[in-house]
Amino acid sequence: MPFSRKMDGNNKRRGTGRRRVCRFCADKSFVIDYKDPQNLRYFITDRGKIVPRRISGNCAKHQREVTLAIKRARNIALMPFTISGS
Amino acid sequence: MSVPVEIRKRHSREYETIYILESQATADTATKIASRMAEIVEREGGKLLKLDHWGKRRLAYKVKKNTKGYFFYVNYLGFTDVATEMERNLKMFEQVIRFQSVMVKDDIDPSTREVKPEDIVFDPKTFIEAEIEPEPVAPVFAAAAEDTAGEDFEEESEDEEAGGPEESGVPEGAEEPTEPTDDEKE
Repeated sequence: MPFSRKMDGNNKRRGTGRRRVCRFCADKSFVIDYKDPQNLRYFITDRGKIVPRRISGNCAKHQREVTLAIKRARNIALMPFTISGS
Repeated sequence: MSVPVEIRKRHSREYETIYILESQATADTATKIASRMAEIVEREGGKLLKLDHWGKRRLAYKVKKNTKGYFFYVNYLGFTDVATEMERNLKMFEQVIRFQSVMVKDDIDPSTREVKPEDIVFDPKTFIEAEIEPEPVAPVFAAAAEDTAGEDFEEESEDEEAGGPEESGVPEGAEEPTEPTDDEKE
């Protein structure tokens, strides 16, 4: 009996996020800056954690830059490390 | 190996330093620290590009029992030892509760960067008590985070919680459960 790949449940699993284009690659005017926490807030969850790339749709290079910017902003108290839930 | 001074001064690095003063700081202290920063940059053979005051802002977390602080931003050109010297001096002031230096760019010719005189002077009149509140931004990914059935995102590295409050006992690195398959094929 031929092995059917379609029976494998894991292959059918789709990513939770939409297949988005990296917003920084699409629009060169978006600048990642640790001094601008308002723009960086799009990349943290409501608990203050950094959103993974599969959800945010960033490319690898820009995800690294975003992560570095968020960590720098956290150090200088512009962004929180964690937000306690209500 | 000694490098001739003329060659050494041709290219320098661009740094920016942000430091925070405590909420009880006065305009005199702010002026003193700002002038000390300018003095250090001059002494080390650098060039001060900008000295900015962002005002009194709410901190994201308590730093030395302060919930608000005065933010200062210094942008300068210098060689490899100027940032260390700035930080060493900032450590000596008790009113400075946080500082951070970042290198922006390497290999810059100081003569190519122009400086406006008003940018490098700290005006004590800007040191006001009025607080700047940032506009609240609704988290965009809260819904996406909830959709994944309460799983915890696995963090690759971190967490440098050097100054922040500790997370209340939440299991970290929980395993991703397999999601229900979408019936796309009819």
